[in-house]
Amino acid sequence: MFCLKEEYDVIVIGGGSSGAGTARDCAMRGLKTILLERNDFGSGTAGACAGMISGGVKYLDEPEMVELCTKEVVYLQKIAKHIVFRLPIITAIINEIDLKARTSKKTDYSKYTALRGASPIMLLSKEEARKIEPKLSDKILLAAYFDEMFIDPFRLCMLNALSAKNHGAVVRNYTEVIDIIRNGDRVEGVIAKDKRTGEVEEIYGKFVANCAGPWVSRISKMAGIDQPLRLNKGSHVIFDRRVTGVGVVCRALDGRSVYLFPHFDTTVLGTTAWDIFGSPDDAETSYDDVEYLISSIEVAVPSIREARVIRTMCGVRPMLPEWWITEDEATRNFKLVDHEERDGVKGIVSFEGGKLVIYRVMAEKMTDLICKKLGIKAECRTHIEPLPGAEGEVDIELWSEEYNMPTHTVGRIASRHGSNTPEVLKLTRENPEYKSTICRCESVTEAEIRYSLRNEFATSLSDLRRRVRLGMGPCQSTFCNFKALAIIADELNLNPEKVHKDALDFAQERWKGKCVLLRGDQVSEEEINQAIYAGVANYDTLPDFWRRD
Amino acid sequence: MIHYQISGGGTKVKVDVCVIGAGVAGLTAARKAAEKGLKVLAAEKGSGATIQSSGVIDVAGYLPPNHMFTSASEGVRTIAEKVKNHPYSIIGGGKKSEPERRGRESERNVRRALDFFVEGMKSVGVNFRGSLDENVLVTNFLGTFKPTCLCPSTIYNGDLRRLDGSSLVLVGVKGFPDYDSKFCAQSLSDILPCLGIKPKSVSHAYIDVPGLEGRGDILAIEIARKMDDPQVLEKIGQSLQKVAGSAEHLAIPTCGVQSPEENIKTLAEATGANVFELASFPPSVPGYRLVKSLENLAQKAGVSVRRGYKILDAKFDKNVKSLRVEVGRKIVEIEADVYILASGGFLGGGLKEEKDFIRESIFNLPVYSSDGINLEEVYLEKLLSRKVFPKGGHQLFSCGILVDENLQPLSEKGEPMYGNLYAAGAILSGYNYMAEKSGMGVAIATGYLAGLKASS
Amino acid sequence: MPEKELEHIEGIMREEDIVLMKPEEEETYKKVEACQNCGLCLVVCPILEVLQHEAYSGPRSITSELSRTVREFWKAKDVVYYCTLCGRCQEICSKNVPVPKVVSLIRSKLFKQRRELMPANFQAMLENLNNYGLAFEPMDKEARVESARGRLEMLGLPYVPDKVKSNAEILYFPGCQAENLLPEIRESAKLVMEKMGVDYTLLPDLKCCSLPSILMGDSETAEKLQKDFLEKMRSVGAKIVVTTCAGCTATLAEIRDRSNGDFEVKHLIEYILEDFGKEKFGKLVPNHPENVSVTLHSPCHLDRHVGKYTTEYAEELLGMLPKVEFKKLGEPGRCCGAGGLLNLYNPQISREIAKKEIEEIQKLNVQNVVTPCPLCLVQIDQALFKKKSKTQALDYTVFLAKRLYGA
Repeated sequence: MFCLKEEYDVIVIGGGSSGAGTARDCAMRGLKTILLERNDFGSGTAGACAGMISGGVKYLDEPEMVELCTKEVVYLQKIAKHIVFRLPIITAIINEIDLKARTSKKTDYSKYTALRGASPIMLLSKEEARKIEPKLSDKILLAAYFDEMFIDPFRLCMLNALSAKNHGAVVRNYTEVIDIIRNGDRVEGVIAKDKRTGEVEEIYGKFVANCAGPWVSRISKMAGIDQPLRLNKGSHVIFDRRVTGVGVVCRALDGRSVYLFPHFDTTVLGTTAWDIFGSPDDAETSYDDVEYLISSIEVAVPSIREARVIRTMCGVRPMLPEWWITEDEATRNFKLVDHEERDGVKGIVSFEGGKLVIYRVMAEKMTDLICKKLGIKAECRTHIEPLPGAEGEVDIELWSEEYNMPTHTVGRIASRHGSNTPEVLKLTRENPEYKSTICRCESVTEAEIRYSLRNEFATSLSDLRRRVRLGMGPCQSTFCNFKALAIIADELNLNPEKVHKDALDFAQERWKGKCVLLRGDQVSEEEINQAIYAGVANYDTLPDFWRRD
Repeated sequence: MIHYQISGGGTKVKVDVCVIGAGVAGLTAARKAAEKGLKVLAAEKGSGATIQSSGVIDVAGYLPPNHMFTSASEGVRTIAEKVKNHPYSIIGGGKKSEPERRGRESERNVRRALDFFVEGMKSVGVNFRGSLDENVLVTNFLGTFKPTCLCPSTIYNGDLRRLDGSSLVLVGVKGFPDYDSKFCAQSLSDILPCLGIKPKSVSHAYIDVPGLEGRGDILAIEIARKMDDPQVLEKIGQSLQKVAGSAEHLAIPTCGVQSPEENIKTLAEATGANVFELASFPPSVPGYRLVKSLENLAQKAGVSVRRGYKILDAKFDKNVKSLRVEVGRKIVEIEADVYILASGGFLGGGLKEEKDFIRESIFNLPVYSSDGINLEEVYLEKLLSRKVFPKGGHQLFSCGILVDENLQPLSEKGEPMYGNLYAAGAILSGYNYMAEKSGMGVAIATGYLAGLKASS
Repeated sequence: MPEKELEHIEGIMREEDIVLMKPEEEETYKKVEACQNCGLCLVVCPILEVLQHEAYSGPRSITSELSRTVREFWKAKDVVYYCTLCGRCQEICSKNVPVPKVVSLIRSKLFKQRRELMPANFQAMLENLNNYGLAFEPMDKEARVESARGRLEMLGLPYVPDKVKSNAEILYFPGCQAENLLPEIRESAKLVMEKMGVDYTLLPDLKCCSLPSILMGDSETAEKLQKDFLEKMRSVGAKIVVTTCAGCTATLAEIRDRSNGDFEVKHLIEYILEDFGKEKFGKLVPNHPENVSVTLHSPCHLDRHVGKYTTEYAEELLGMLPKVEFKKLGEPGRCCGAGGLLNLYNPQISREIAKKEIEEIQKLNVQNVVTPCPLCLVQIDQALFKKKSKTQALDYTVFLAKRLYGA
């Protein structure tokens, strides 16, 4: 164990949206910042959502929330324009019960839609709705149209972390905080373990920003603080391609709401809301979750069962500990907790609750608080300065010609890297073999993989999945796993045992999502997966084999 | 040629034997059945698992969870003796037979079937090497290894045990993403000592394939086609010579599609080294060659092999009367005296998932797990393990139909469902070809027997 | 909802490149989901035999990448015009993914969203279809008859005038190419049907079957032409449409299926074997003065888009003609390279593909190669000519007529 004698101003724990956002804001205001994420950026709650950055249509009972969300959506459309897209959504009113239950809300959403350049909410007849979305059931009664913005949550987290680094922060993934250093009533720092090397170190800082999402309680406990949260699990089913052209929302079988949102070239169906009482690490999607979702949306989109399911995913919401109300009724607003005030422990602040869409303002408030306590006067600029890739314009056709690469491929790269795309494509000038497409489903080229490994804190195949969507298509890494692992071995100079293990981990992670719901064409895809990795490459016996005496 | 009988009632095709599926099991069964001069049609919807295979003939590699067989004969005997419901056990006589007798009978049948295969392949110019009495260790694009029984000579040259005390250079092509020789070499270097093999050196090199320089996204088939061009092959030989140094062995990702054996010979002469082809991943050139050779062989034996024939369902009473087949826009009826179901697993289409259950696609035969449980009401997900590549494989991929010692599919009562239906290959329950490394062996042995029984 | 609002929504959808699909396109879109990404299709794709994978990412890319999001279709422009829609990929695919249909789908979305990206060398044909409803500019009637007579004379065949009736059992549909560029095919079909003594009529005002429009992505014109055909069918009241072009057969058959028409669509070969009868036809064929050796090039649009049995029929029919020695190609089922409008998009690549088929043909040393498709015929003919081959390419129907009339 060694000590980092230098002291940081802020130690941010958690590389999700609020943590990475906080690290960015702190770094931009000149604070000496270190960001510690125990796995990979966005691998927690942020990565398990549908990516909607809602203007607040769900919280029409909380006008302040709607205003906040709307403002933030406008900012995000500017600072992250390359990873934000708009989706038209139709809410289908499926039957009489549904119609009766729709009461008027406090806020007139239309007032806010204009602010963020979105369409006002419009009522549609059944015929009009089916004209826009032919897959809607002909049994619906009415529909309402609105549009919302969506974002790639993985890249959002990573880009915030990258921006933090660009502004001088130290950014570390795969570094887990295993204890808090507390001296009397003051938190002085953390003890962190680098999961890759096994090294343990003491890191000292004036403030610890606990942005660990569902794991906030775990971190607080290390500081001797009791901070209960309401942990609530949500599952999604992911289908291949755009099952519907626009988003569809409808009343679920149990009176809640379910949604079917096209997301790039997949479709996300969600979500459930189960309170959990165990560790958020153990949260899993169940067969019932999945059937509930599919049976619910089936009423509005009857052909959903014919769509190809590619996997499931689940995440845990770190809700405010408000009980005796349903998850729907609970607020999505956040609480910034100053533990000096609340628990008499100095040097540590945390978040409870929150939503992806307001991550930036959450981070702003936390940074304001920390700056105030440090006596630093610096303005927040996170809403003005673009995230990496959103700085400039995108010209797919020009770049496609300049670098002699197919338009489609350049388009996909641009949907991830925005104006930074030429930096990725440049790599093919010196090494034309980097033009090879490694993940065919998502058009991920070797150039993009290497770029991400070099510049985006990616160190494993699973990281690459979050960065560039490797393995996110219908074949779920069957055909890119064996191609990508050689690239990782080369870029990161890893020994083969580690690389094969990484490939196995990647396959295992994909499996977690697949095994809940293996259907239709996914079953034969799995046969191929087994035939390649177990049947030919012998991955089923390999782990034992590496154990030498 | 197939004769279509067109009448007011529709279009019919009449044959003696109709084989459903033209993978390795189906084509073996078809050729065996055609030996007696019968009119045989092998109907194939497109392709299945055989064409995706790496090119080698697995017979018995492992007894899961941990035991690796040193010979396929040991493997077949052991499996036949010990593993209930395994096709090897069934072709050895099944439950009625004593274990040891079962083992010997099974081995005999497998040997006969493999001889039939090897001789047939030889007659169309493809030499398979290896023997039931000694498993071979082969490596692949990723630099791992597996035991197998027979290989085309181009891959057999790469038996890892030959590397003991000698030098190997793995040769790759820049811009061919399926295979990186550098990583393969690193991986193999680490693995070989675990196998008790101590090479002098294992290194890597890259060569250019004339015409594919400066490329990305190179396909194995592109390299293979170039190798079939004698002028290009000569240049490749020269490049190999330069990178080979004094190495005794050279590994290349593919050696051609039309003339692989001649090409390897040419390269071996040019370099003075033992040149071999690696076992590959899909889209696999050796797998494609295997299917093309099997088709060629079957056609020479008088079998009509037809791709683009999709079997929809069957008409039957005590026997199967006819099959309804979709041929493009037309529905054709195939009437045969005997039918052989070699429709494959999920990839081949013989099994399918329907509302979370597993069903047999054509006759709706009862489907069983490898331990004999009827899967009519068992959810598919229950047959999956939590680990992605578990020892022994997922139960899902060892389920299928049950057959008796004559390879006739059984009903729920345990009796042959139809008097004139036989089955072979991955449609059968009781074995997991990925975990055991036994796919081709089971397919060839059961295909051979099914063809034999069907034609008698 | 007020119309303005609906327009607003449609505007947003256009902005986000969200394009709706027709029911038959939905069907295709669903089937393409089955793609397993295995790449087997790339091994059999004829374009990839002559064009590098880097330049043409092939059927696998079309199914697993390019068609995955309705928003991205225009970006597929670099790839999607190289496909000849031969269907070899679909044939060998373990899931029989209908790649040719997906290609047509992508081209139609491309045409709708970014019209300017349609290849420039389609423009002339597009204009012809717009102006005349035909792929090729029509000759006037007299010039056509003169050209027909001249060609028939060279072939040693007689001329019979057109039969146009208000209704008949059979509607003979020659297709654009036979109507204007290769009239000997049209004439030969008449001759064969005359010999058979069947009740047939021609269309006085023939329009294209719509395949070229589909291939260009011009679904509007395609629909117009299809409507026109169905109307004409209804008025003629024919029970069966007989064609002599593989492309027309496949296309009209599909139109019939989608419209639930109560008529059938068959190539002349199918008609002869299925409806007229093999034996009956055999009795019509005289003992020809000359021996001839022949092989068959089976067009993709018959062999794969209509069904494998068409090849069996074609072979069987050749086999029963006296003094005709039929030799099967060593590697049958190759594409001639002209399909999908590749002969317009990239004539060089198109010719390279044809060369591979010529190599197969030349191995057999036969006098004639016959093919029941005018497009294949022209392609093969040109390629044989370039190779100064002794083998002569003939249309299948023309060959039949020659054997029937002792020419």
